[in-house]
This record gives sequence, structure tokens and C-alpha cells, in this order.
Amino acid sequence: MLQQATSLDLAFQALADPVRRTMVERLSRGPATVSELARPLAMSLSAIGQHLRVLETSGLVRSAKVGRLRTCWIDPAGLLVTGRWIIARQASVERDLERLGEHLAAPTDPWRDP
Amino acid sequence: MLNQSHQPLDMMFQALSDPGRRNMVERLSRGPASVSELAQPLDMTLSAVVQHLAVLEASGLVKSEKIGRVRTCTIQPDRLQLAEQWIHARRTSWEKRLDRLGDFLAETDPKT
Repeated sequence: MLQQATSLDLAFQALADPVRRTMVERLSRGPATVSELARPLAMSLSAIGQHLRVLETSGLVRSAKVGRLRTCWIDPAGLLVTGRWIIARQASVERDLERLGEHLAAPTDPWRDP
Repeated sequence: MLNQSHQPLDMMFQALSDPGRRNMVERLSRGPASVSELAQPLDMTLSAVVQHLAVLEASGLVKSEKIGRVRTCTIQPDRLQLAEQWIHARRTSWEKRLDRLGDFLAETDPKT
């Protein structure tokens, strides 16, 4: 439980930055090298390297060095755990609204004790 | 491109990156609650809860209203949906890629 809390902390924290979201967006379309990630963002390789470390620590992205190139790819487990957390909250909101709807639709008995 | 349109998601994901605030969202997803009702199960001081509430309100995930002496907080499902949609779009795009890879492997299967 605590471990999941920590991984959710790190994953949401990682997604709270527009540059890192752009990197995740790019990687969800397929693996990329660090320089391929840097190009559309017009950022230095070292800045991208720093963002990449945050993404790797959070479990959203993985990378490996093959020869002289570091290739990055998405780890679907990270997106799955964050997505599931939000979906569970949405389901709970819907249940609450349904209960409210049933309550409002229930006929009121004028003879009931107050 | 990296401008204001990103801000709501920045603030929402930032708000959800804290376990105390996630607990508050979890509680509020089951129905509205007063600030002290939010504080109770979290074993947090009222002032800590109020600070977290300010972050949640700034992100748009939660709204609060003072009625009489009690401040009541409610969740904003449309904002939760915004965060979920972003994650869902990334997963869909990743899954599509896997499907393409699967199709490619099936087409090049030496047994067929």
C-alpha cells in the first residue's frame, strides 16, 4: 500500500511537467533516442537527460544504452497505475450520483414520522 | 507549444502527487464533505487540510463553499476526466503501436 502510494506520488509528480508529458506523448508512439526526444522540444541534451531521469525514477519510462545511443521507451505499468487510480475515483463519483438520484426519485410518504 | 494550455494538467497532476491530497479526493469522490470531515480520517490538523484544499481548489479538482459556519467541499468530475483522458490517450497510442507490431509479426511468421 505504502509502496503504491510512493509510486503514485512519483508518477503524478513526473506528469506535472509539460516537457515530461511531451516526452511521454512522443514515446507512446514508439521508442526514441535522447536526441530524438530533445529535437521537437528545442532543449539541450542534458536538460532532456534530467527529465528522463525523473521519468525513469517514476516508472513511466525505461531506457538502455545500445552502443553510443540511449534508447527510451514507455513502461505501460506506470500509465496503468495512474489511470486506474483516477478511474476508480470516477467510478466512486458515479455511484454517489446514482445514490443521490435514487434518493431524489424515492416517493416521499407524507404520513411518515419526521 | 509549452504554454498556458498545459497549465491545468500541470496543476492537476501536481495536486494528485501527494498522498494526503489523494486521500481527500478519494473521500470526496464518495460525496461532499466538510473540512473537519476531511481532516478526521487523515489524522491531519485543520490547517494542514486547508492548505491541501487550497492546492486542490487551484487545480480545479475540488470546489468549496462556505454555508453558515461550515465549509463544504465537492469534487469536480469534469476535471478528473481531463486528467484521465490525457493518460488514456497515451495508453491508446501505445496499444495501437503494439497492435501494429503484432500485425507485422503475424504477417512475417515463417510458418504461414
